[in-house]
Amino acid sequence: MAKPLLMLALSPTMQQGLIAKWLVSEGDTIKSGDVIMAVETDKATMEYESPQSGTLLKIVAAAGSRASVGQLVGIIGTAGEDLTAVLKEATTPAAPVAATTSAPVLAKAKNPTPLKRPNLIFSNRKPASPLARKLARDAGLNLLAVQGSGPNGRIVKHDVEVAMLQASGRKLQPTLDLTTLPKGHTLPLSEKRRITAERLSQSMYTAPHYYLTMAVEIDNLLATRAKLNQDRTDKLSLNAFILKVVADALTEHPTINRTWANDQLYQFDTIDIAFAVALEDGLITPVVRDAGSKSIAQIDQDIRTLVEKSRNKTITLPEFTNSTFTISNLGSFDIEEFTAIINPPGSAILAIGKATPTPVVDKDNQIIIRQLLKLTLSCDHRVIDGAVGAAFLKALKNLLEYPQ
Amino acid sequence: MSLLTFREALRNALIEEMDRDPTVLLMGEEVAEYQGAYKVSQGLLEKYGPKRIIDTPITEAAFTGIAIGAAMAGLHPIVEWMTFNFGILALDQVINNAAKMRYMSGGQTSIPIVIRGPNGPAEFLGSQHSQNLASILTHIPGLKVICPATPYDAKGLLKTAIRDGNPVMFMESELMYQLQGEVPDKEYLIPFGKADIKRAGQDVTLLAYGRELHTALAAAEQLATQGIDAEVIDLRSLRPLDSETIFASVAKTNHLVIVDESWPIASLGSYIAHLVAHDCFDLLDAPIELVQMEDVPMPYNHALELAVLPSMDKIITAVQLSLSSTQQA
Repeated sequence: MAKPLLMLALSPTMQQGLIAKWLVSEGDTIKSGDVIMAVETDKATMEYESPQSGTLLKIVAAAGSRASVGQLVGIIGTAGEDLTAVLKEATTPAAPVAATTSAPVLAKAKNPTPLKRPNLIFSNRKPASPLARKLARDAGLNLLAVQGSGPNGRIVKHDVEVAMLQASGRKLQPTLDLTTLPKGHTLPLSEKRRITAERLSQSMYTAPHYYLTMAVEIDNLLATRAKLNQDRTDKLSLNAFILKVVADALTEHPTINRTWANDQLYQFDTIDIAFAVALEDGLITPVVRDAGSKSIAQIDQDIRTLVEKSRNKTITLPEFTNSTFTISNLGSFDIEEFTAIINPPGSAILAIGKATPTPVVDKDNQIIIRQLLKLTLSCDHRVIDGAVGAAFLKALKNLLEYPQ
Repeated sequence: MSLLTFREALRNALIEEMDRDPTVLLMGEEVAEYQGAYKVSQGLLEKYGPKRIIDTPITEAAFTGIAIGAAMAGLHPIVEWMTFNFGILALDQVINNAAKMRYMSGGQTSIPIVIRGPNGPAEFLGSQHSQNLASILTHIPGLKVICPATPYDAKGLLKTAIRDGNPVMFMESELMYQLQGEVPDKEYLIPFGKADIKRAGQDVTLLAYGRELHTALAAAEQLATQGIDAEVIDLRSLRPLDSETIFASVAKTNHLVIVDESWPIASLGSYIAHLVAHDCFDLLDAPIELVQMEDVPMPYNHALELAVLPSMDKIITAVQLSLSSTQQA
């Protein structure tokens, strides 16, 4: 039977959300829990996980429209179904953004849009047993993504256990008994923290990681940067240089720019490089799109804009997801070298340490001082074999030591 | 161990306590010459004489008041009400005198009295004689309310009641006097405020007391054939109430069905449901189910009478409702 897909409360205070993007199209098959929309709420851009499985029969509220919590945004069901009943029963579809500003208040009062099925949405909650709520809370599981099997669709303990099993793809872990921990208290969980925890656990548990470390002399690179920055007021950052060089190395070695998807290799067409930014409420990895075809100045500008958006929380979901490669730099914390966890859907991440003046033996057997940078590449062995990863790193070294 | 009936267990408790303490006496309608309406006091007149086994006129308010006065003066009377339905006449004495004197005298006066007899419906007794007054009496601060369901508990709890030193309402059941059970030959006491797990289980907690305990146990056996492992808790002591045992069981099963022979509104069952909803909120995986007397006076027609009472079928339905989703696994 065709079922209405309603706007859900994606933050505790959300009353309506702006649909930034549909990540699926009409006719696509959706599993419960799949992220199908990016929704900008009062707080941030959030992922909308489908509460139902089936085929997306119709998008009622297009990208760019606003929908109140409980309002119809789409219809899910089986292909070929008659949708008139659902459309008729549902509340008014979402209005385009422009229309809301001009909508007279009086007209609204005359035609209140009653929530036809209050049992579907309890303000911003899904019906769930207190025990199910607690288990989900302890496991960091979003109840909006859980299908309830109890009376009136109530989520019960069993449903949460099944959802946890599905979410992790691992054996069900017994919930940690907080009373056995040393004295302390739980903290409110930001969505960013939850997603980071989920994605990185998934990456670490499913992608077999290995690590390659190499020292690189960057004296030439620093000199080139100083020369280019001589006449500029807005200095190009070292990160922009490194990101550009990584993009060039990836152009030379497209085998790194792949992922393991549904037991198949998947080649990305563009080079989209994410860089890790530490914020107070969690890590974020904004993405420089198509870095392979951008100049250093363009890349530097992209980085500035994305960092600014990350800090003032205006960054949107598409701007910090779906990168093909990631760079993480802890040099500013005096870290010499470290290993990073791969950021999916990429298959490799480059961990960069601090540039350190180091005595080096040159080709004439003389000891000279060089700025050495330690690079550590984490690779998904399903995609990148050791020699392939090493060849990429060698190319990267050449490009960094002899910049063009 | 000896196999005793419920009435024999009560009688043995009376004998042990009357032998132990010469101030303990039994009074009520037909307790002496007739040997007790339900033969609990059989042989006691011969053993203790008419000064300690006293036949009273059919005047519940009067003889209950006399017993309360005797308790104030230092005796330990046990009052037998032929049924708690008749005792309604004496509720002024119980609620206004027995339950209040210790409090109102600032502890100068205590009322060491036990009022006992059959409570709740039997069969074919009509509206006025088929009432379970447990919730009404449990409502009153100053009273202790005990409701045993086995000969073992009946003896151990009656002895504790006689020694308690405060008014104790001791509720039996006409349909349980013949019930047989193992009772130790050696003396023992059972403390108040301790529920007893009569059947351990994992899936759902069945809470019951008095006669309905046996309905709950029968339901648990039936549920076992469906693969549902019910834990059955016998409250025994309604006030003081053993919430700890209840909470521990709910923590284990996450599902609670309360069987209470009282009417549903403002009942003991609904109060326990509140306690569990409050203290075990995060442990509940389904709403708490109440199986109570239907909210009507007891009909005389037997088919209707059976329909009004809690029953095995009603308990099983409540359990299935509570577990409705988890059993699909």
